[in-house]
Amino acid sequence: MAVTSLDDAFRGLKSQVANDLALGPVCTRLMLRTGVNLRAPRPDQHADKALLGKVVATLSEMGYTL
Amino acid sequence: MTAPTLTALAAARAHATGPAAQVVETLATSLLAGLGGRGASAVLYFASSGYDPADLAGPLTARFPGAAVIGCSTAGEFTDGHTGVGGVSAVALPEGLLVRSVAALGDLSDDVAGGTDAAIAAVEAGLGTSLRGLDPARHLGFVLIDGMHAVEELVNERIGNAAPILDVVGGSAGDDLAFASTWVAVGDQVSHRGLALLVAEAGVPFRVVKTCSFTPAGTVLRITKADVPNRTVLEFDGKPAVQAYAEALGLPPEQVDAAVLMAHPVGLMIDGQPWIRSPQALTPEGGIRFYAQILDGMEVELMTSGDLVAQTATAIAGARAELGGRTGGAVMFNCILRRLEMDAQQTSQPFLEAFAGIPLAGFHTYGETWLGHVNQTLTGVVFG
Repeated sequence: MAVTSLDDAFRGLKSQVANDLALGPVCTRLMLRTGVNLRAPRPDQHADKALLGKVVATLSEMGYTL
Repeated sequence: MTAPTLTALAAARAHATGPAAQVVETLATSLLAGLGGRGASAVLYFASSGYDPADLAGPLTARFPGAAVIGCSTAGEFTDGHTGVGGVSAVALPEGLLVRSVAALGDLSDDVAGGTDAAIAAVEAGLGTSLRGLDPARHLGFVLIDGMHAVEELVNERIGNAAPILDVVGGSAGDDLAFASTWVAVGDQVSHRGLALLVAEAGVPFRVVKTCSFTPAGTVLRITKADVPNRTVLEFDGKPAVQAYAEALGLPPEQVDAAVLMAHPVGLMIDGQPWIRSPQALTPEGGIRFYAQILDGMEVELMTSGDLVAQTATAIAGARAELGGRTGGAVMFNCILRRLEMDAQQTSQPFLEAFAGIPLAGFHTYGETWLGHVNQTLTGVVFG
């Protein structure tokens, strides 16, 4: 799946995380490391391709390759 | 305040002062008596920097064969019944409360990522499985981190890479406000620039506590320029950080002093909860250095202080309620800035009473950990 948006990244992450309980800590760690709350990104973050790359890279480091 | 209903697997805790040999004897005797013949799966101890860790780590570990024993230096120690400086607090978590515990020491002196990874690998070897494969409902971690070299973010990143959904809770070692050197220990091994990582399988339910006394003041600041490695914000909203921060508070910049900084940290809001970043000092170029990293592009809320004791009591009561009202013990990590606030307001005793008699030990830290690095917060684990 090509990840072209934060919504794509969220969908990809959800498909790899066991359940909503597990999604919470992953999203919190991601927020602390990137500034992006994948469950509720700021509107201005949607257009930031560099930030999307950072999100994808950080999730990959955590074992979630999108 | 209602006393908690303790479980049959209740933890034992103790506090002692005096010469190291006497402290070890007092702690061991008290903890073993409190365990009532049960074995300890894990022992965590928190010691004033006035002690030589070599006088504590080995002798205390020797009294609990088979247990994972970790400790660190502090900026004050407490149990549910005593708080102070210059002593040692300890908690023994019995077999049953924890099914198994494995701990390892990591050396962070040359390579923070590598040292953290090595500790993780050693714990995984001891457990016989990867941390990623552990059920987070039944497993948790404690981490004690060097408090002097601003390594907490990277340590937490490496832990998060290995165990993204595992609750790992802890604190940064202190040194009684000398800001010279801290230490952590696993068994009889001591590091003055390391981390102690303990991962356990719990035999009972548990809840993580994270609480602070701050609420958003209603002003959002966006970081437009930061020196991230040095934890310094240079600009908020395109203005020198001190200027923007002062404007948000309605103060002239020259009135931004240590008291203002302590009362008004900023919070990175995640799902409505603040992850506090505490200002440490102003920089000559008009920036603000914090005790935690804040990234370019992040938005933070200016915070205003509230009732530390009441918020602590609410958090503990909430955890206890979620556990069905039955508590077996706890381990707590409380920010040194919260201790200083309690000292100034003479609320140390009410702070202890907020724990409502849950047998616990903890220490006043140079930073708190849960999923990441946070400031001016109490983190901890309450066992059911």
